[in-house]
Amino acid sequence: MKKLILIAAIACWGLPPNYDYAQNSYDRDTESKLTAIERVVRLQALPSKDVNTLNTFLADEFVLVTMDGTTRSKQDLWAYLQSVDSLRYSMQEMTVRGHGNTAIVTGLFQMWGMQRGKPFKRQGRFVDTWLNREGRWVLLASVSTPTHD
Amino acid sequence: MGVARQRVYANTRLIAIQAFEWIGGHVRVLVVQMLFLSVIANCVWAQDASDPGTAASIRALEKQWTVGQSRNDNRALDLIFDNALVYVEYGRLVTKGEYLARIKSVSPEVDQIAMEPMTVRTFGTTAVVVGSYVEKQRNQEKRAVQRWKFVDTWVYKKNGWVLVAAAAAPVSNE
Repeated sequence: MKKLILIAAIACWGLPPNYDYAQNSYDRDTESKLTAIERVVRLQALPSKDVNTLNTFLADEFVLVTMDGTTRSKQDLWAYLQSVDSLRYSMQEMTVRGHGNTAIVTGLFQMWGMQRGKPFKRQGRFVDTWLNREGRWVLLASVSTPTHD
Repeated sequence: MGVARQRVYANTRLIAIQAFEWIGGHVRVLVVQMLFLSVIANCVWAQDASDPGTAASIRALEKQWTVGQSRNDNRALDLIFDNALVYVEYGRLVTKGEYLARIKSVSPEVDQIAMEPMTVRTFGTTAVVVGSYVEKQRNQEKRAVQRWKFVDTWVYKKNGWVLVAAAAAPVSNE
């Protein structure tokens, strides 16, 4: 019995640092994965209108709030991409905050291109909500807002 | 069978029965624990998609946030905001501390918020709220009214639902 208590005590004593290590490792892994996914989605899939890749990373329930306060679904986003002649995208200051199977990614963006023959340019901040669904990260929501700093 | 042998047999049988009872008791405890865990897991899983109970809780928290802000009640807001909150206010990324400090200093008459209908979507221990609100500001005898569309993200943690991200875009008047 004493042996059992001793083993349990050693196990419990060893738990917090191991847990912290595992948590930090999980956070680093989440951060690198989501940073890479954001780059694929925003820098490659959006400008090239790669619907297959976007479909992989955007949840069916995906909702987008644009800089002018319009709400768009996944289908609305496809329609918007079809209306754009060309699109370029750049990102800066990306940060990832993990909360278990949820993660928040935020950063600054610039997008410019041509829509129905007219040039456009927008810049702002985005906040994305990601969910790890059965081991796969999917984007649930995204909001873009004009920057003032 | 000799008496000594019978005694050894009886003792062995008694030990075996006690051992089985002990194992049986532990197995029962284990089974009960597993059932309990599966019920908990099912409850969390069942919150997915459209759980009216969770949605109601989130709506209540959204209201609590608005009321807390209008009353400069930092203590109430502190409880519903996660420490790692990502908050975008007028395009600026602010921390929980910065946001609470601003709320404390704002006069309730200057900044008024009227909430509009919102949609709550739950995904297990994550909830996404999309909605709009109208902000009425009064600065130096001037009144400004702006409608905002927001996305808030809530996560269920140890002490309940907490806000982990909030951002809003100004609705264009065009």
